[in-house]
Amino acid sequence: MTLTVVKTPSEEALAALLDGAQAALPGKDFASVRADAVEKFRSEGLPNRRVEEWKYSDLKRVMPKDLSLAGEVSADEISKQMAVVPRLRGLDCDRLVLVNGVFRADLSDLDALQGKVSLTPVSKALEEGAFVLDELEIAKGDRALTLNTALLQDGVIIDVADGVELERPIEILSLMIGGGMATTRNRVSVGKNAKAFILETFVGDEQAYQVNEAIDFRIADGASLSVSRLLSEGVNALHLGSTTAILGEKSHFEHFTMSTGGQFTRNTAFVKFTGEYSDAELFGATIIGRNQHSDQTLLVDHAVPNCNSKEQYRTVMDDKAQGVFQGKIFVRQPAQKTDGQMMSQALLLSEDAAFFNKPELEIFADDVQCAHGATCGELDEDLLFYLRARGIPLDKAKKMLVLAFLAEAVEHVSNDAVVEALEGFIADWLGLDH
Amino acid sequence: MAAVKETVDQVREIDVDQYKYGFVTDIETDKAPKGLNEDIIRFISAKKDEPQWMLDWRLDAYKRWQTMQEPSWARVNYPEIDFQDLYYYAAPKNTEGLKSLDEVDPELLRTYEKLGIPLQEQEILAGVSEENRVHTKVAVDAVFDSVSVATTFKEELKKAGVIFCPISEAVKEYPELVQKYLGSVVPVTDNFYATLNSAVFTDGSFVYIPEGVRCPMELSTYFRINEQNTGQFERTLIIADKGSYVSYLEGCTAPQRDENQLHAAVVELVALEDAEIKYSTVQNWYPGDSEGKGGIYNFVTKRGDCREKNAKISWTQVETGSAITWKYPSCILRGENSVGEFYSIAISNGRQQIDSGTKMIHLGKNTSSRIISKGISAGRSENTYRGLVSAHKKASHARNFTQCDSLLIGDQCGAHTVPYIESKNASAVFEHEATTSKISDDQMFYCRARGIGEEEAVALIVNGFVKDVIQQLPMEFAVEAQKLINISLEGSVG
Repeated sequence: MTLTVVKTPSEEALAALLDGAQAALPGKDFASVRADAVEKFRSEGLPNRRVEEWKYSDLKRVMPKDLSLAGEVSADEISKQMAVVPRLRGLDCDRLVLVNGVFRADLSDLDALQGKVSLTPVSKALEEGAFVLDELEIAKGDRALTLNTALLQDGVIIDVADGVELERPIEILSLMIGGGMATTRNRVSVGKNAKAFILETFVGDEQAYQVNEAIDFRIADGASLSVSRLLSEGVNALHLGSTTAILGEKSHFEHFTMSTGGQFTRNTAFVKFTGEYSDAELFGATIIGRNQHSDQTLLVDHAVPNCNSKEQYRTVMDDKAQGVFQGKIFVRQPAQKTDGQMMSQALLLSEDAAFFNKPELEIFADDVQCAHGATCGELDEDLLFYLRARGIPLDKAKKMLVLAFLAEAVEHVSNDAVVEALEGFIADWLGLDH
Repeated sequence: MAAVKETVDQVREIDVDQYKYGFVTDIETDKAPKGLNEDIIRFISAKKDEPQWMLDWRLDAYKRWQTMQEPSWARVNYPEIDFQDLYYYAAPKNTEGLKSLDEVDPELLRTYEKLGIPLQEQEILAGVSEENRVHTKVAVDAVFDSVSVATTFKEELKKAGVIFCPISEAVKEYPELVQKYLGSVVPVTDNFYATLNSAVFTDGSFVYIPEGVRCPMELSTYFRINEQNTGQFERTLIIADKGSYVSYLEGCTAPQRDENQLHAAVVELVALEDAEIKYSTVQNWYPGDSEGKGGIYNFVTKRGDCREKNAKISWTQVETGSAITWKYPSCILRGENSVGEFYSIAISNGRQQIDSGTKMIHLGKNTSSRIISKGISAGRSENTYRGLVSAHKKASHARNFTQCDSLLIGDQCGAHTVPYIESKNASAVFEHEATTSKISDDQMFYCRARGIGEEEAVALIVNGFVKDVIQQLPMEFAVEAQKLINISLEGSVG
């Protein structure tokens, strides 16, 4: 007997959407994997505050009742939106574009990437039966990933061969137009001793739309990967993001998330060390207002000895915005000599904003150095006074301090041009001249 | 330096058997039939000669309990508890209607003597004050299985206006106070174990400190589970009226048995305007043997309510016993400027599992709280700190500082930290820091280079690690706690 818990109108709508979409989704071999995921969703329903991992982000409450798959859009509409959506501009990079969850070869810089990396659309890999889910143990059962599998449409698979060092960042840009739901999963494999910089950008129009995206990073021995992720979705968007990363020996992983857009955003990162002497640095800057909700959840799995992880997240909330940080450093018994440091700092700019912080340590090895810190408060009166005493108006002084607060997280990004673009982006968001 | 010497001596003294209080007192008891149903609750209520309202309260709780599910969110693993396989009432015979201590079964008095708890008032006056000149008297309420057997210094306390008696007596003597405050901090339906406790609680202490009174001595309750297959469900209610102060100590032990025994207590504290309650616990229930057989399941709900302005509640706990501990002494900071404090040392060894921490709920303006938690895991134990700090919308300028440090001794144990920090007020300032590490080689080398043996060096470093919390304990407990820490960690090094 199957236990059916699907009951709210939005859960029913989503269940109907899942059933209806199955036949048209790519890949015959993948159908049974999808069916299992649909079944799992039916037995669990949408995650809500009673599910510990979703305690502060009640997806059941925010998922709309009217659901449909995102449709096709004309080239005209795309170029119109590309011109207006807030994103990093003036960056020298090679771009891959997904519109409404579908990879668009026609809009991507394929020629520039020719010969540097190998590229395959996920839909093609699915059709050929070559796409295999490679779930991390710690990510298994994740509710957002289950939905991602159930509706997986497309994405890009980027392979950077052993020893290749990419000079220019590769941007994977996801654009949503005209509402509806899109589900993608990208995969980036960086070969031995290779080096790459990936920029992920999520933008869209003002329609109500839902994005469920996942990205898998596979970092081979000695490889180095930097990722900057910009979540700048439209005002009515619901965004579920899942990042998984597996690090080989002596590898380096740098991951930065800038979150500003969307109505409801949930961003999860699962990182696992599988080889010794590797480093992972995860940073994030979030600035939200209105009644936006932004959730940053991460789980770092130290499975082998001698690895370091460092997490630093900064969140600024204005108006009635709600911020969430949930981080866990998980140190398994063999992972001796682990160094794990996690810091989450939040700034509340308004009486009605709220912040929920849950930095966890779960440690089974004794020879480790692990620490976490968390702070939450308002802008420092002394700093404001310092600026105002120098003739800077209150409003501008506040904005300057907010920018400085977030810049400390942004500055960890190893590419200077990206740092500059991100700081400019924050200044624009604040309405500050720069 | 004295503390260090104390530690070293203590470590040397320790025999193979670490738990000193594992003996059983052979005493005739009066037991209710095994199992739980309405009749058992009526039986308990009748035994206690309770008024109808109390029985109704219990039955109502029992009805609610039947609809509730055992919580499973804590990081602890244990086989399912069969709630029908327990005795809910066990009392040493002949305790009813005692006029003075002379009438108490001498076997019982010997038990408390063995535990180092003098019930004879003159003994305290003579013995303790000579040995330890800093402090004079402690009034003790001794709870044996389901009943309170003796409460000392009652008369002297009465002169100051302080009420200190078994709660079963308070139900009859001071029904208006009990009715007003019982269940007002921990509601009947609060959680599975609190509801169970509300239905079947058998005894515990009741304390009322009248307006403006500073309680003339430390109050103390000593809990002892003796009987096999019994659960102990005690209920403590402390009310500090306006401008009063009380310091309350709690200690516990149980015999060494192969089965697990359940202890599900509820403690409620109410601090009114300008009042202060200091509640200290040294929990040393039988932790089970090194393979995890036996031991007490300690599922306790403790909560304090700073109901009016400038109230202060301070929890200090030293947790070394119990197979499983599930305990979160909390403070509801309702009154303006009220203060909550939580100082904790949680030590786990063998196969012990601890999931403990605190909740600081800031509701009023300018409320502040402080959490210092030190967890030490050794052997194959699991030690989790789980805590909540929250500021509600109206809690302007709330302030919290949290520090939770964990120390790991050995590579088979686990130390976990699960803090929840929720701020709904911009002017609230919360700071949280946590570290996990082992005793560093440098620290050990420093000690060893000065001729200090390995075990003594560990004791020295551990004592330093927990110093912040030990300092918060009343004198009587500080010495005992320090000894206990060393006993608990015995055998974990090398």
